[in-house]
Amino acid sequence: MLKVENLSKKFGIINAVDDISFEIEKGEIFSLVGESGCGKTTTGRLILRLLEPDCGRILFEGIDILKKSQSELKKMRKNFQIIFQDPYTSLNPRMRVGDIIEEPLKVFGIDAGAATLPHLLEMVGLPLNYVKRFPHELSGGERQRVGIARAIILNPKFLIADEVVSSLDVIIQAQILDVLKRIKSHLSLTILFIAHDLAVVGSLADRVAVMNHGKIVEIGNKDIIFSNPSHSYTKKLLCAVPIPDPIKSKFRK
Amino acid sequence: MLQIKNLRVEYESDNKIITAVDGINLTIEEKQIVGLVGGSGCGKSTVALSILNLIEKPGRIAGGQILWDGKDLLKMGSDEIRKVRGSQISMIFQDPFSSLNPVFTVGDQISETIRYHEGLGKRSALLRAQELLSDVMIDNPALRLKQYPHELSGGMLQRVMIAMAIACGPKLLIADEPTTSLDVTVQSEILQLMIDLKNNLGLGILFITHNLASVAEICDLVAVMKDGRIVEQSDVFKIFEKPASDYTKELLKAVPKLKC
Repeated sequence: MLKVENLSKKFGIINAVDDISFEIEKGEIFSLVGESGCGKTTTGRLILRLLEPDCGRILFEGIDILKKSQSELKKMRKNFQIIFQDPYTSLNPRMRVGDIIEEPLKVFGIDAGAATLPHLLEMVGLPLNYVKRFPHELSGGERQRVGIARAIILNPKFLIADEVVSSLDVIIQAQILDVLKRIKSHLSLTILFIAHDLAVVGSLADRVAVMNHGKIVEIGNKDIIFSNPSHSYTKKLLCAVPIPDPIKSKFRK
Repeated sequence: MLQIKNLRVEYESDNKIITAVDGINLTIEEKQIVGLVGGSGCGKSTVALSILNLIEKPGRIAGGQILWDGKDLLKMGSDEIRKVRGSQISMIFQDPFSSLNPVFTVGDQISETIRYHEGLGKRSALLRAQELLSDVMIDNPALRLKQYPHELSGGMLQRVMIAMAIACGPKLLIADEPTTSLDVTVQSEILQLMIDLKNNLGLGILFITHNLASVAEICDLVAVMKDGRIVEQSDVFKIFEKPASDYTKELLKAVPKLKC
């Protein structure tokens, strides 16, 4: 579905993304994990060409999207969408929920019919009367559901979810992860899930790439990486995850 | 040391009264970490603000007592409570970026607290600030003193906040979601730091969070809050072994776990 080859991006003298390559299969949830500043968000933005890479190739269903002109790219963008980390800043405060979700249709001049919006709201678990509300009337979890609905209204094939649950509390987190799983199977989506929380990644991803200082240090099947990490950085990340069992606490002696 | 008795806090909005905290009781002793856990909007931060009498309009404390070594903090005048804030009870917040002033150096901000409460001169306050920064394990403290908040990472800023909070030797630290905005690795370092503060300085800590996993790692006692009430309160080992309330079970279920 998506193939990234030798992708690099420098900001000044910093190698934000440093010669990374990976492949995402159709229908899988592939996760990029790492700490703040490791380059995972930059990678997501490069794939959508929200940022221009310095070098490398990005093949989407075999087509090199870096060779496309802006107008060709715009047509392709229907197929790849993104959900952002912060549901407070990624929604226009002066637009109503219904208009926010339907805006991509207007951009592409598509008439999807009146049934689309109610159907989408149901899929992401929002009440129908929310279409008339403004973002400030919604909680963080509800706003993130709006972000998801907006991202899937064009029936994309590929979705990037960039730290979509890290600003939410655990119960809402679990609900949003359920929504992601549901839309993934309903729409047969392929998802690039970017996150720093290994426990969250563990509950969702099929395959994982661990990033550190712009490089991928380890990549592979989630169960294998989590149960038998080969790189010291992966071990360090796994070790840091708090365990909900006081008897196993590493901080108490 | 700190005893919250039947605390009620209300907010008024559109002529309706919303009860954010509905009669809670909680005790914190020295050298004890008490976890206050609940989802967003359950009233846990309101409890924290009430302890230092920081509830602002349209909110008000509608009833109850908060006893600090036997004296009711809620009955203190503003001069009196100002002497408690920072020097006996201090607080750190979720977002260290917005808790620090962007136009003053880290050194200025830490020494301001020291000069106010301890009456030290500028130079000796800065020296003390440098000691504090090494106490919270910041590397190269002399350099950090001269830097501005935007030059430091989130984890370092949270350490700066903790340095400020312990500057005047408080007995109680209120930590409101101190690790939520941080990476897992940094989060684990801050948890370690809080355990060290408890063991080395004998600090009592009220640790507010939504994540039961971090509670399991460091707390001695746990209170679970929902809709302004404490639904369950007990020893940390007991609560994880045999949670009594359905809400605690729900919170535990929601914690993402590593299957390894």
